[in-house]
Amino acid sequence: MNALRSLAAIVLFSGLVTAAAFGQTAPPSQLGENAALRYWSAFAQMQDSAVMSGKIPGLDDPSVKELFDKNKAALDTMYRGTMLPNCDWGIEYQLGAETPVEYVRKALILGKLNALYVMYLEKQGDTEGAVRALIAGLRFSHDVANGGTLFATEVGAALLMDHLPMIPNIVHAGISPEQRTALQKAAAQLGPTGLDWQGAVKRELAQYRGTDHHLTAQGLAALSQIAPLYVSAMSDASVLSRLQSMIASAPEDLRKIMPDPRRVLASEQSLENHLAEARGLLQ
Amino acid sequence: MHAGDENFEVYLKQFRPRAPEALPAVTGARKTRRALALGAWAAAILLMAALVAANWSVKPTTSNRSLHPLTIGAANELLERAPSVKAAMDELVRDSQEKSVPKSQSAFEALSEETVNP
Repeated sequence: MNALRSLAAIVLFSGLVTAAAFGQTAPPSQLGENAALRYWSAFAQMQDSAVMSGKIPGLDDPSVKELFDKNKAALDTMYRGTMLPNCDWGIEYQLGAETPVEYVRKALILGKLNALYVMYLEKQGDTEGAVRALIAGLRFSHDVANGGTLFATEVGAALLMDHLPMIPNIVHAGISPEQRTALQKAAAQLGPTGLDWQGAVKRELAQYRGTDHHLTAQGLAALSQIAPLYVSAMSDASVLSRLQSMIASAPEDLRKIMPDPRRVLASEQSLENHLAEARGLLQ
Repeated sequence: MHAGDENFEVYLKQFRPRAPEALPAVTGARKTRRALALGAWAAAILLMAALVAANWSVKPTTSNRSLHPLTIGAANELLERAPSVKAAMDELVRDSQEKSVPKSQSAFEALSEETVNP
């Protein structure tokens, strides 16, 4: 019996030692491969971003070049982030309405800055730089919406629609076959609708079940019926009128927080139109 | 010994220490008066603090606003309040700014004015 116990102890000890050894030699955590971390670094590197909402004299003004020079490091960090396959903003949805999404505001500013930079490079005749910045901007805009609610998705869409109109200018200025292929690939990677609108709606409406929205039992019951239809509307606009009727007859507590589906669908449709135009030009 | 000294000694021997009087007792009424006085002072101080706080006019500056991190609740409120999504985006960026460059054309205007070649 004692011999059996000793044997068991030896086996257990050996197992623990082996596990510890493997733990030490295992590859480093994949957390560093998260694009969101690079993007946060880029936000921290941004300088004089106030210019983005203020007044700028025009792309030819020396102060604009100075702005881009100051933010070159931030833009380069963002470009490196777009090379990573995964982007997880780590949104703490359990905090309900208090969930911090400051990254969306910072991303909007950095994305706008990049769109302006694409325009600047194209005007300077730096096609290669413009294509590189444009491809990164498309990917970044897509990542901004990743895992977010409707708000982050609207911002991602707005950024995409700032970048996509640059494609015709760059194409008409003359690009190499390799650059065209790279742009085609970047546009294709955005997917058919550009962004995950259905996922955004699901996450948005799931938030309303939280206690901080104080929905009544009737409101929660109505939400259970409306949510699947709202998600369907993102891929099938024919259900919009039925969805609107359901929202109109929902209890007031739910009705007043429900995002207008017409507005959401209009954003989705506008982005799809921009995408279709850009893809057509790149054929 | 002089007669004067003897007289003085007799005089001293007449000294009888008096029993000390009891310390003035703190009566109930006195306690109440003290408590009332303290309460009045505390109330006066609180009132002054409240008046100062009420008249403290801190104008909300853009830099103050930007100190508050954006939350999902605030973002949804912004989307609901703004006349359009674009207006919401503009307000979002404006709120984050500490300063602006006093020139003629905003970056967003430059973007929206960008012409697309046919």
